[in-house]
Amino acid sequence: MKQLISFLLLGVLLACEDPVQVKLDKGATLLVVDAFINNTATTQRIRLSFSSPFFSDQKNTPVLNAQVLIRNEKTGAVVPFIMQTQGEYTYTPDATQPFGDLNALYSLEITHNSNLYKAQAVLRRSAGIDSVNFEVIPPSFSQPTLTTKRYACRLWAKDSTGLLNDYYWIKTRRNDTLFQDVSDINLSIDGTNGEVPLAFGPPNAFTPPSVFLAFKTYYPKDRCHVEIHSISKDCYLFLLQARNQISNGGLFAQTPENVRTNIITPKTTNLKAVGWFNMAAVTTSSIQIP
Amino acid sequence: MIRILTLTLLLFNFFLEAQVLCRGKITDFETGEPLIGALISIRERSLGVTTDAEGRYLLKLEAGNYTLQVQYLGYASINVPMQIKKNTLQNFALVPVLNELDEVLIQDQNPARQLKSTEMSVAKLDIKQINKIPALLGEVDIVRALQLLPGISTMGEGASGLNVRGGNSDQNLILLDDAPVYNSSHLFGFFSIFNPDAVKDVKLYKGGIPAAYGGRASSLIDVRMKESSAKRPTVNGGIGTVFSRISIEMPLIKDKAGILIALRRSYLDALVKPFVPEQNPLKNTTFYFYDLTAKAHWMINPKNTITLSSYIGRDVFGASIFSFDWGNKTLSLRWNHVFNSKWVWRTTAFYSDYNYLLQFGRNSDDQSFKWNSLITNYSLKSEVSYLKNDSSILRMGVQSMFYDFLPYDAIGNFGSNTVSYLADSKYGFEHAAFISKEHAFSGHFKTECGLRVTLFQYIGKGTAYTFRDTLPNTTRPLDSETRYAVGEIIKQYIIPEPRLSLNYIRNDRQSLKFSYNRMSQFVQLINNTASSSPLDIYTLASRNLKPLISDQVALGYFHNFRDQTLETSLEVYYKYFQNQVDYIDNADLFINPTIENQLILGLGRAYGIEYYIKKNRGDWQGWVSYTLSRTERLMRGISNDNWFLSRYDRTHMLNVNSSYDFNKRLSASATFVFYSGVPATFPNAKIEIQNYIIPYNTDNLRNNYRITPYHRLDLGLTYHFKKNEYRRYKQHIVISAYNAYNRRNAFSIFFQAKESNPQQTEAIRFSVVGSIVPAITYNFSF
Repeated sequence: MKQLISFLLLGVLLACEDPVQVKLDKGATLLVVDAFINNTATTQRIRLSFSSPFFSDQKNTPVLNAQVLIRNEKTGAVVPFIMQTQGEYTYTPDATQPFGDLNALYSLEITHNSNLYKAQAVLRRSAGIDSVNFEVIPPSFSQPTLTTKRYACRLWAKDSTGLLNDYYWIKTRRNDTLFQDVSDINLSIDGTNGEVPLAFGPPNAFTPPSVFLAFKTYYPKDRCHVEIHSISKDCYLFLLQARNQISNGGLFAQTPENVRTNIITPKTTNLKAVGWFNMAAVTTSSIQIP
Repeated sequence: MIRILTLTLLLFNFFLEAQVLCRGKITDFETGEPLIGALISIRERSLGVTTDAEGRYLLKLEAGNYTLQVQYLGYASINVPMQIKKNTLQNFALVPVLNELDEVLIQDQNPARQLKSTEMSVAKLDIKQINKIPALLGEVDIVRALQLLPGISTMGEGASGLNVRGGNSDQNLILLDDAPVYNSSHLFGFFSIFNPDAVKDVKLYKGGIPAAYGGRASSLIDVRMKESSAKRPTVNGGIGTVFSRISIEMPLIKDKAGILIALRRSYLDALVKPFVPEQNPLKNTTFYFYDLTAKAHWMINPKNTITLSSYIGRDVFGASIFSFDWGNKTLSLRWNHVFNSKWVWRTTAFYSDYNYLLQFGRNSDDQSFKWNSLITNYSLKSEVSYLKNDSSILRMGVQSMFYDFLPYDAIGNFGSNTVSYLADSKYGFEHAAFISKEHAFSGHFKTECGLRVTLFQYIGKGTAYTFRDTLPNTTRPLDSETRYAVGEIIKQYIIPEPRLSLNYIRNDRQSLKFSYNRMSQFVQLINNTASSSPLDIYTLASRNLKPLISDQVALGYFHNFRDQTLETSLEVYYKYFQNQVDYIDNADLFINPTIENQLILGLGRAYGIEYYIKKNRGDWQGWVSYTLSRTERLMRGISNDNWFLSRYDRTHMLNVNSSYDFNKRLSASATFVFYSGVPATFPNAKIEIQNYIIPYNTDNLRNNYRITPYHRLDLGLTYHFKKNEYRRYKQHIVISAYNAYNRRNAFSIFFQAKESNPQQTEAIRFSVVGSIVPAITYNFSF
């Protein structure tokens, strides 16, 4: 809502935004762990990098020669992740689905320069998807004169029953492209019971506890693909915080804060780790627009 | 020893014989409204008093022949020889002399009186003075005018409220004819809710706050509404760029009762509409405010006067898919009773409410969301003043206030599913008793000692939450909940608040003042964003949220030069806050019943030097104010547990305001301000997670940088059209340019990934007023 007010002020009043030069200190270096693992039979990736000065135009420097593994604490099974490209440690599961053990506790262990960084995550259940459908966007909405038909998609999903709160990250792709805007960090607690509506209104206006899906506009022959990733409550808070920090401007900007982490830095090192480790169960569905 | 001396002096005064009383009321000759703070002096003796909030004065003299001099800014002074043999009632009516420049005294109050009173850290602005300041969009605004005084700052355009000596904007007790106002701004802070046509004057206390007032930690902003004319109907109005206003004053009973009604309505949305492209979804945005201010008074007899004041205002903001509106309502009824020449009794009952309603979709729609929040306040205050003699005044009274806060009541309708979120209302009582005594020991030494004792009760029906302790700056887990029945006391606090002011008057031109005051605050605004929005809510002190307490000492040196035409003051202050609120990282303040575990209570301190020089007579008038200050906070778990700068900290603040009268009809004015940039937390590193670039501050320091300094020049030109001697119709036109040299002052600087290349980050300056704002306003009265 506050963003909306700022936006309207920007449109209606005299406000403006423009880039400026700011001189910033060069901060200490951090070890950044990006470990979002899921239970699908696709290649799983963990990215390790060093943070860089804020205005650096380079990608963050990759962390080489680390040993990375994930252990299932229930069964004791260990899965090593091998560095394939610069800083990217991967594991391609076979048919046995090593990360499919619902409610099991998994540990991530990263050894770098003989220091052992640890994190833990429980694989939680995801929501059941009934279907995805599409409907024509009426021409009068915002662009009254349009020749091509435009579509919005609607996800029909059902939150698992029970008293347990479920937290989800809903990711959407148009064809193969993942929507990667800040507003595409669609988070939900318990979804809604039944239909998850498409949103013409402001995305994520009321998270928590209910969520609107910020679906984009689709055109004929497009494919809409939706994934619901289960996340932990802490991961939900981490993503919420990240979303606020990535774009935190305007009249109602919040005091900037550092995003939380679940990676434990050993006392033996000054190289502090940040980032997140999450184990997700994923449900998917897609639809082809004719 | 001093006590014995005081007592002796008191007794001595008490037994003085052959004293008579001269009392009366000073009014405006044209409109009949009372003049507050007018000076009545006896030329034969160095004796003078000022009129109170009803325009009344009281002099105690030995019987004899005297010449009474009556003075008030903007009015011709009068000298009246009088034979005062017995108790006398003598009213005076002063003639306004607005266009007769040689005789005008444009000064907020008599500079000599200012010097001699115990008041310090007080800024009083008269509406005529405010009218001279070039204004944003040509509209005179009281709150914006106050920002030009020393020690007062704001976060910038678009930020509602004021920060007084390092205090948050919710630490100002804003009273509109005694009723507190919770949101004093329209259009997200661009204008205040006070209609200048209906305001008589405004007084801001930064320190030395009288014992009769309490409930906020930093300041008292006392806005007095104008009393209606008692002689003939008058219409005032203006047509401006942003809004138009009209006010009507008319007598109800000749010389005894009258009413004033003032209305404003903005039309910014209609003006902007032609410039919004057809396809833009904002095309049909409505965005306006209106307000109605009214005051009626009735002098039943010379001993009893009743006044009724009310304000109703609302901002309405909406488009096809949503609507959002908010506003205040106040109503205050005051009864003044004069028992005799010494005892005056004043009783005020008031009601104040603030509410907002936010709605997406309509009830009939497939999906909709409706949310409202409400603050209601009822109070009764009764106080007596006892004027023992010219050198001693005793004031005492009691006040009771009832709070009823509904934090949120929301209904979401998502297809077949309806979700409702209804918070428990929060109830509280704030009872206070106060006493203060002003006493002049000799011509050189004056004191005002006071005590206010406040009892705050947070009462049921409600739930008290107990949280477990955990790491600082994280959500404390809920341990237990206790339900309380209607009227049961959940938590209570008793806070004694001593107040003290001392004045050493060296001579007519110099004085040295000292003040100490303790203030407590039981309602706090919950908001962790740069500017407070109308959606922010107030919450009551509870078991977990302890009342905010501030202690302030100030020392000031006052010196008037050149026959009182140049006033200067130098004040130093130190202020210490306990239970200052801050927020944990990732605080969830939205529809959260356990909001209290999202707060951190810590310490605050503010200190500074304020310098003020003002020229108050002549063609050329104006003032310069400069403040050197620091405001800091200490919170567990924030900024590595070190003191950090508050976001209201401004090292340097310079205000220059001046006006020049070319002749009786044409005048020009200019305002220049320079403020150090506000502190801000900037990142120094970036981290990459899931292809998102997230800013990070590896030192973990809060407010480690400052944004660029703020400076601005405003210009104004006022032309009074020639007045037809046979007609009452008067008109003048105001042309103004706000931000005359077109500077883009940063409201904030934030950081983000570039749209063109997400790997590259950039700093973005957000300016609320990014260009020069010219305006023209036409004003009339008849």
